[in-house]
Amino acid sequence: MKIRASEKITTEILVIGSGAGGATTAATLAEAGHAVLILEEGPAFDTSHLATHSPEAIGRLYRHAGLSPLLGNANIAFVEGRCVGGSTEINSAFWQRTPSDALERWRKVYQVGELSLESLQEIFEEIEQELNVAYLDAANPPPSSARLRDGAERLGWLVKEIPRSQTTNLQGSAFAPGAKRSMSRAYLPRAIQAGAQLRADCRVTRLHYQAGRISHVTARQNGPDGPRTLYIAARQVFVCAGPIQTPALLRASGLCHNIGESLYIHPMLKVAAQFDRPMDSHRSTLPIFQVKEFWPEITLGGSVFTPGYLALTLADSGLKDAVLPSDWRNMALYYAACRGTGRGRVRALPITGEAVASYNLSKQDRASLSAGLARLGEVLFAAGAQKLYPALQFPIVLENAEQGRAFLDKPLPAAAMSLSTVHAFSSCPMGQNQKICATDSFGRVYGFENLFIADASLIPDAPGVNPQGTVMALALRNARHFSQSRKSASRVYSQV
Amino acid sequence: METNRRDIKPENNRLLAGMVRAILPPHPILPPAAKTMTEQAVIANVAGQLAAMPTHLRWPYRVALGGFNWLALARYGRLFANLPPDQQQLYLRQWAGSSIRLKRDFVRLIRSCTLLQYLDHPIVLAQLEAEQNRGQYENPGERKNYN
Repeated sequence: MKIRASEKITTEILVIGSGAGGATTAATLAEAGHAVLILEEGPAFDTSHLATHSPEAIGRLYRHAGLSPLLGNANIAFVEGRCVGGSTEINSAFWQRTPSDALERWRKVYQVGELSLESLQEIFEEIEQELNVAYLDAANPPPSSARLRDGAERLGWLVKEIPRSQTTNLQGSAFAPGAKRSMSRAYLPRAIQAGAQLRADCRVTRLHYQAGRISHVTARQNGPDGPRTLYIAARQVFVCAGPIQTPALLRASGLCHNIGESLYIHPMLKVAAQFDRPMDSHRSTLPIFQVKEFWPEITLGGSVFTPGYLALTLADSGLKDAVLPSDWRNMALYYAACRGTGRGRVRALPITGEAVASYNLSKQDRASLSAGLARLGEVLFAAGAQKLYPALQFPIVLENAEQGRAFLDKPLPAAAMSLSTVHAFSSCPMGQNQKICATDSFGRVYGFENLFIADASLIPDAPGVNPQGTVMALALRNARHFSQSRKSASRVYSQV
Repeated sequence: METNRRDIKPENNRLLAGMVRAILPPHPILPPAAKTMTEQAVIANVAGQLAAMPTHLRWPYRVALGGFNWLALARYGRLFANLPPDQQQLYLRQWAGSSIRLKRDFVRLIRSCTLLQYLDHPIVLAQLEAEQNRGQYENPGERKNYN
């Protein structure tokens, strides 16, 4: 391997990561007049013609090509993006504001200051406008989504369409590749237009510090001529590498105070439902409704559908003859997700610094997921489903709602469930309660004057909704607070 | 794909190809040239996925691949790739249905990668659509299984 000469770079603001938190932070600070350099570990890839859940996307855009499970008492598949734009390039673009009960809990337990629904109102509106957050055509939903809605309405349960940060693409389809307003189409171009620089294929391996200040960071940039080591001196460093990579980088650099000690997730149990007529879920791929009757503890919704994903769920169901049924077009995928109350943690491997994340389902998680399966059974049978195949590691087919309701009294064992999640957070919680928090109320890491975190790691615990809205709102809030406090400080300095 | 230089070893690639072929569902039925091309793409992508696994999983998985292969030799007198297809499937089923979680998870991982890569491959998707439109899908009872 040819190792190119090292390079020394100096910048005012270094943003590590270009996902929801990093892109928002970079754009906000660059537009406020700061010199910003963004480093992204993954490649820059044009996703305008790439289906988000296709095998090609998994190989190109997903960390570890989609194989990064959480260790623990259950099988939990976890995926995150590793590309310019981060996980916003691979998610379903659902948009939900932070629930008021979560904000209140964070104020009370974590003592997060200056955080309220009112203070975030304008920030949410601003981001929603930029991302074109809107409802799709609810009058004409995909058949699998319509079934979920109809079933919930028959039972008198609360069901809602969840808006998306999505426009229509050139073919006029909101479900087609290129329609999503991911970071590579929204905040990153804004940041670059405001003067920020972006380097892709550049992994930060270590933060170096002295006397409470980050002096410089070491990074490794891959290029056509081989890897190159970068030494970057920055006045301020924002780590926005996501809920797993951020604590891993900090811990690999020797920063451990409340870092990586409290990972939370929204565990999700998938169910394949068989109907009596074609759903053709593979044509719409993305569902649009969620059943909120049992929220915040349990959310029911439609899941991404392709023949491959269906086969995975059926294979996980432990059925003897499960690969791809002949009537696969009559099938759709749904999920029951819960607001995780178990506890996970993130560690960094010695030498490589690679992240190792674990999560153990709590008793409450098991009860919620089992109840979620029961409720999902009720709503889908009410919607006309004929059979349900839950992703459990023993052969079971539900043929009526009564069979499903048995799980209400008898929680499933953790090891029996094949779970997945795309929502992880809280690995470096923010707040003034220094006993449990890693950063102050605005993301500054305790003990450091120039090190900040701006990603899902900051979210103090499981919010019960898709976290992208919360991540972006907190990033914008914290970046503005940072910028304003710097301006105030420089005014005081110039007066002196 | 995010790969590691210390990839899955060449001797394991033959094993991997054998495992992938044994897991591939018989349907949809592809024309021979398309079948070969798709199989090769799936084998390469699954090998790439395994090579991209995080270190703390990749190394144990390599060891498990070796164990899987040598236990086949101990049991049947041949390495997995040299077993007849029926025996390969039987052996995979035994591991997938084992009471030992590690053995189940070992098969589950490669099976998940293979099914996703194969059934969502553009050629296979097109064939599935075409077969559905012609109503040509065969009896589900004839499907292979690996659980």
